[in-house]
Amino acid sequence: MSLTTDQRATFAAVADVLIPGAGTQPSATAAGVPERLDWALTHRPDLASPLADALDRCAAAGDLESALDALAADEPHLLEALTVLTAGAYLTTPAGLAGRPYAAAPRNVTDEIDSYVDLLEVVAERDFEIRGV
Amino acid sequence: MHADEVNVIQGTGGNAVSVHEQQEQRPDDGRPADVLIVGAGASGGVAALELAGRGFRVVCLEQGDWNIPDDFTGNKPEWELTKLKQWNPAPNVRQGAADYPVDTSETPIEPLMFNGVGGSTIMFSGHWVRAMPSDFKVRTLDGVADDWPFTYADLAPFYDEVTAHIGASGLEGDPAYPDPHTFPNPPLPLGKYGLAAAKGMDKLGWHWWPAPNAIASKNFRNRPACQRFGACESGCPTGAKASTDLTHWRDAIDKGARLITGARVRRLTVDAQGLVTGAEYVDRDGVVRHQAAGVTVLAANGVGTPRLLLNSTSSLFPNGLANSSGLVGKRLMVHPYASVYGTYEEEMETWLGPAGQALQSLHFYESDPSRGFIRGAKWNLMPTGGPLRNTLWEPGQDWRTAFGPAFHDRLQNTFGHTSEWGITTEDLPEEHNEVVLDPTLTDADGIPAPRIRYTISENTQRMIDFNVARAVEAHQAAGAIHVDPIPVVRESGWHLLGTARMGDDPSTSVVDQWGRAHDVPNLFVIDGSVFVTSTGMNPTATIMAVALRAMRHLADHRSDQQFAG
Repeated sequence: MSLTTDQRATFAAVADVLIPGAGTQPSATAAGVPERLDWALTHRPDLASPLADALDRCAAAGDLESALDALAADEPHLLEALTVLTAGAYLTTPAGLAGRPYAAAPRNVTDEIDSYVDLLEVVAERDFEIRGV
Repeated sequence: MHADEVNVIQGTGGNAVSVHEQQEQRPDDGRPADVLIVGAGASGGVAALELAGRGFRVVCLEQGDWNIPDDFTGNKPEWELTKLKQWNPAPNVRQGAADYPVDTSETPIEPLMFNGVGGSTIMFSGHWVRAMPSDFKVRTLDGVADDWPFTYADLAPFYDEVTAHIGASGLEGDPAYPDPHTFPNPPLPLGKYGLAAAKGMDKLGWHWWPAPNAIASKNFRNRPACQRFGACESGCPTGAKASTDLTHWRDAIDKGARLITGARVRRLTVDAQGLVTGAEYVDRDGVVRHQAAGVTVLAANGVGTPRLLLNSTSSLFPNGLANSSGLVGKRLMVHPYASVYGTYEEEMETWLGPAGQALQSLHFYESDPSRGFIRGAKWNLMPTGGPLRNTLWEPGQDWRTAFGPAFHDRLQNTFGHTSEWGITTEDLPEEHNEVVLDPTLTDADGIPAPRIRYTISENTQRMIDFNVARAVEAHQAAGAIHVDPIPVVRESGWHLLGTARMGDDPSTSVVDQWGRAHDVPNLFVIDGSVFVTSTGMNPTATIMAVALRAMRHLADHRSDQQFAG
């Protein structure tokens, strides 16, 4: 299913309530979350319907914070869909994790034994009761 | 990916081969199998490789499909979104075509599994841990439950063989064990968070050791070295993890085993003499077929196996196959699991794999009655994954705790800063913990689905409380600025054990020490169902060692074995 223009406008507004800007961290719309939403939905098509329901309820309520309170209380699966898609989109935009010290994999396995061998010798020399031998 | 697509994989000899082409070269000629295996997971893979290599004509029925590493999303942007659904370990969440529903309204623990070639090793975290000698003698040592029909020493050669075969990574010499058992690959990195935890354990004087993992730290046979995506529990995207589709099935097929995917077994069939004659299954097109076999081996996990036995009623076996003891489905053990999260001021790269365990502790594994409970728990230190996991809103919370102005601070403070001491507790067998057939729920093929009834015992609850309190101390000793314990994690039921237990007495057990059903001499069970007690360890190494021991015995004694037909 595809979202209507009104639903997309509501999503942009709700997304900024969920992820506002703070310092150097951009808000959802500044990071491009509305434009990323369709990508997120291609990977979670099961959330399309609950997202649309959540957005319709937000639009009908007017005040978005109150609408989110009502979703949390009455329709938690709708709020779950809304928050997962919003955060999931945000954290895969270039701006979403910019400025954080995140050096993602792939990373080669390295031999770190030298960094802890002294600690390990203490363990190896300690008595350990082995039962049932 | 379906097996009827051309599925190019890498054989152990380094030659590109096609599963599809291999199997087309061995068309189903209608002849009965010598051995039929139900389930292509950990124990099924062991059975197929051992028996095909010993000259048996092996056929395996698997309700799921093949996957290749590129199917998994751990190295792709959509990883965390799909981990919550398509690659979720809970079949009730995943709801894939190969999955069957499980009624979990009467259990605090959700069962986790994967249905496909490799079984739950596709999604397991690869903790490759042996049971302790005491695990096989809990009645003798602690006066509870029952002793196993064999000892640690009996099983040790099979642990050695399976560990070498799958290319486990670890460090020799853990003083918790009686033998300095070795690993073919060196240990995986502890990482920043692992080193901090080790220093905390050192302050407390508590046991820890670099953790053994079924993950290759170096290129090993047909598998590359781990690239540390930390996505082990949603399918390894590089093939470094030792799932049995990679470690066993390709070799088993090379040796002549035939693996039929998309084949959901609905019941086992028997003859007038009470021998099992094979299995009825529903193929991918909904057609009911029969695979005849001289011997049938169940390897369908601690829920799937009792489900199948209970669905296989007949005039000879009105209470289900192999169930004269009444214990099929009973004594379910699931290892109630606690997570204790520690958050550190320093950034610790806790998104990096393996996940996988960085280190483990067996300090509180053995019984100490002064603690108020019998038996104990194994601890594993794990990373906490990607950024999305650190932002999730949980029903029941005020959304403002996770979103709104709190969003960035929460992400900043937890992502990369939080590690988990996971606690696997040894729950003891109790007959009221059980897998039964649900009176109304069925799978997509109309086959009655299982229902789990499970309660956490007082002994286990005390074990949880004690170990959680100690894990809080471990994080604090390591410098955590915030500790968040979750005493019982609902989505933690990886270890499905005990529902067709081994034993010498047919009145108190379902199968003998070789997995042979007391009631049906050509029926074997070799998955985690056969566990007498749960041990406090991640069970896959033990499941595969027990399966290898059983199937080698079957092959060695084939002249004494009864075959149907």
